[in-house]
Amino acid sequence: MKRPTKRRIAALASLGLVAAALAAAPAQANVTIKVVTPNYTDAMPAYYEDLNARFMAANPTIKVVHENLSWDDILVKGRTFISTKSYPDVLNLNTFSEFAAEGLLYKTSDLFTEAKLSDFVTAFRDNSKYNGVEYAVPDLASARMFFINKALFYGAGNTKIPKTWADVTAAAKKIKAKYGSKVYPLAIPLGSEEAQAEFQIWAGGNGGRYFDEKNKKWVINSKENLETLNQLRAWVKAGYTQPNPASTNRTDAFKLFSQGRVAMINASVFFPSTLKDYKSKVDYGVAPFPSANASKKPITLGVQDYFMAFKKEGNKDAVSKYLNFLFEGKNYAGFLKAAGGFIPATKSASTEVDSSLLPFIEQLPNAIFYPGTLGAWGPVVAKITTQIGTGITKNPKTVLDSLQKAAESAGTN
Amino acid sequence: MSGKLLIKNNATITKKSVATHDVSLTSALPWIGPALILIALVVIWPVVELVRISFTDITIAGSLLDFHGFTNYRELLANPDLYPVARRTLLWVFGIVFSTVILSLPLAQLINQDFPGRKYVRWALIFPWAASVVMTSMIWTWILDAYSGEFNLTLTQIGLITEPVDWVNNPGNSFYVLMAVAVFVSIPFTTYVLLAGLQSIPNDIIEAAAVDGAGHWQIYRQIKFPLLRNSLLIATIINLINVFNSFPIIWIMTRGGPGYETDTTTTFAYKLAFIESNMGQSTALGVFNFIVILLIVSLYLKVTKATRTEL
Amino acid sequence: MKNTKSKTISVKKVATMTGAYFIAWFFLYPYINMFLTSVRSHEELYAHPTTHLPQAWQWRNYLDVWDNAPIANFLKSSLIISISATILALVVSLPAAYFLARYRFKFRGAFLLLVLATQMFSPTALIIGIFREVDFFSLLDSYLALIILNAGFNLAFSIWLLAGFFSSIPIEIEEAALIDGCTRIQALRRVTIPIALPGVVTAIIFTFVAAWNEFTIALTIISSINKKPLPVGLTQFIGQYDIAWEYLFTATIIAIIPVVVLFIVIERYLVSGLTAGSVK
Repeated sequence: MKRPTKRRIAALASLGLVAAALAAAPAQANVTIKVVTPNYTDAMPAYYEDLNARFMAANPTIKVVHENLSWDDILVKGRTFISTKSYPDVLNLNTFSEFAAEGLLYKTSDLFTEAKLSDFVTAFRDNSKYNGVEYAVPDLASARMFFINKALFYGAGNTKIPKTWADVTAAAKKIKAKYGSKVYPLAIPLGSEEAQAEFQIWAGGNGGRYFDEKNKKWVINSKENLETLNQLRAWVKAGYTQPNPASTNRTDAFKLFSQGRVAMINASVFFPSTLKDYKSKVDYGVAPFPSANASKKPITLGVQDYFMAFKKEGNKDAVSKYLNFLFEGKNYAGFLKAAGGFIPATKSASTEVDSSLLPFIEQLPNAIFYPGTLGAWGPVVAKITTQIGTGITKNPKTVLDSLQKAAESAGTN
Repeated sequence: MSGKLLIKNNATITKKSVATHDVSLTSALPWIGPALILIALVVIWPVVELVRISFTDITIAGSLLDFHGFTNYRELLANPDLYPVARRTLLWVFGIVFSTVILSLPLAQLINQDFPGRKYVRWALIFPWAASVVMTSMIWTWILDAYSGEFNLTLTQIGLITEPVDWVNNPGNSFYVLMAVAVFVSIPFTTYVLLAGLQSIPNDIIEAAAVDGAGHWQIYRQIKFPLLRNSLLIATIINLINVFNSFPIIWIMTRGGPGYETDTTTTFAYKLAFIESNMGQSTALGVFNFIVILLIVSLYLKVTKATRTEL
Repeated sequence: MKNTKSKTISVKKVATMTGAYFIAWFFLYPYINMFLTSVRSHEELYAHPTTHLPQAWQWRNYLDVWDNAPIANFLKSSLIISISATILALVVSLPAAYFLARYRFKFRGAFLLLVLATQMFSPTALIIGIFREVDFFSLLDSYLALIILNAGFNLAFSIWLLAGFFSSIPIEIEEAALIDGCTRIQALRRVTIPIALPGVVTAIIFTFVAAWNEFTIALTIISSINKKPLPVGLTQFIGQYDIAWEYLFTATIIAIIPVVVLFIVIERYLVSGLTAGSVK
């Protein structure tokens, strides 16, 4: 049933396009823009198919060529596009600054009116600046909290939600004593999927960062980060975590939690909707993330992705129209829905969010962010992501030192 | 004895029947020209690009700047992560090729015998070859999953293990599991090449030897195996190349991780380029890999020249 | 005497059969598992503990997958690219292989080296160069580019294999045809190629399978969803934090079937084809 309908829509749209193009042809030259986006969920292709058809119907002089890629593929293909200078016109990605550093991007003030820009959440706007100028707009964001399997947690005799690392240790001890090897008290996924985030959220609770914004220097091998890595090692060594944290990807850890085999886990805002997809029967609670000790401030890790537009001869008007169209109320709501359970990047969309998002949005004032505004962030974070997990099995100091060295040679621009 | 004689005769016959007219290059061009053009376009052009980029300064975002000599090469050689990866690559290539050949020899012998259902056994062997390596790696990851894979489920049910074993991710066995999957993927092609070799051995040689009172093992070692030598060499060399260039198994199952602990030079080059945005070192490594490949090609030529004079 | 002999043979045969069936099962096992996963519901994939067989056989996946992604288009693209690349590789390699087998000429060795060297490159290492080149000819997002590239990367095996075949065919047969009034091309077409048919079939299957499963180049060159071949199209089922394994495997089974059928049809040729090419 689905297919014929889709086809009919496409056929109608293309008929309309032809007619419109014929009518408009003498007046204006056609512009083709290439839009490249990541596959947040498999609902994305259908979302864009509809969005682009409506956009082209409304703007007959603009042709949108869209490509939706899995996150793995977009890194490869995006890299290939850039290094061969065949830039996309609009790109949706998790970093922007390396492109801004080379002067490839439009300033957002060239694309949006100030009124429209002011609708984006201020904290997210601040993270979209390179050298103080906005070169990208946030598309969505996530924050993280501490998820607890209530049955396992309380069933082991715990009564208080952990606020500090010591609390986590105590709770884990009880859970292990009660359930033995059937359950992992704590999941720490430091595999190459999201290790940079897993490490940062623990380190952040100890005041550890990757980059010192004030003194403009990399601090990956700081005392705070080393203490964090040692704490994670201690939990692994005590048998409180799933085996092989350095190879466990976030998705694997989520799966274990959804099966009721993990008691405590760091998870992102979209996790409730993932659990729903998995049809998980786990009764869970969400709490602020534990910090190192009572003297340290609890934090959450905010992560955002970006829309950016590449400077090309004669494409400015078209990319501006396209991005503005995407961020129109109904269209942007559709985007958020297809992406599945993230925090909206605009103030107007934040008013109608699902109630499961509210605790996360409340945490945003405590959010720390990656130094995503640095031109060198892209390659540095890639290295952190693949290497930080090895700190569990190798000498943690050596691992942090070698990351620090790699970051320093990448620079601080 | 009689076997050896026959082979000699065979070789003479073959040589006689091959024409060796010497002709000029211009008359060769209409025949080999299209192939030359296709090779130049598809392979030579990108290779030239690869070499050119390896001598160029390239930015984080991937824009090409100026020519800067051997800097990329110096940086690559100064990269401490390269050396364990290079050593592991040797284990990868020789371990897999050796195991593949050792397992394929008896397997080819087996499916060369006549027994009911042989046809279906041969078809079954075709699957890993016909399915893409990408999907085969994915299904093995799925089967070997520590917590919900069928492999651990089976082992638990028959009582061999009580705790789930993380086959793909345990640092102690991770790389060997990857190698085992690579052997699984390589066996079908190798077995078919060896089967072809076995089938080309004339039956009368073997019958003559059997009449002379030779046992099965003797026949295999003294008659069949020497005759298999050529197909064995070819299968080995094709495997060396394919395994050296093998990418999807490692990439899909472990990403070469944790760290670089299951990377080979092929996946490492890819990681440098597309994950760490270090196109410079990656292209330099690509050129190094090319040199290693060239050495293999020379070996290949030497072997084929020695055994197949007519080519 | 006779009786005991036939008895030992049958015992040996039973052992052979048992071993062979076990090995066949081993090589089929992952694909059987893939099939059993493809008929599970998404929910069941994440159930714990898992089971050997699906709790509820969800055959619907094989219908739904066509609605969830343009599989028909992926299949069409794969067929166009693989068939055309196979034909192109064959058309180019046949004359070259024939000439190499029959004549000696200057730079013959260099040409052979070149052909062999091309088999040693993985497209992955060359992808940036390939992309630039395809862009230079304005062939991005076209079947033509993929057809030419797939043919080129698989040319070596074809030439090498076919040359081995042609040189094993006695030239006297061809000369007889020439005396009968055929031109050289006619002799090649009517006499030599039919004799070398097993080799030709082998070259076809190798090129076809390689092109059918090629991923990296297709991913980089093709952008339009409708032009993507199957291996690239399948990645659509891979979301950021959830993979639709049931559809991924369903579509993979669909993709494997044509190749396996092709194999089964020509398996006899394949074996004798490899023989002539490799053992002389």
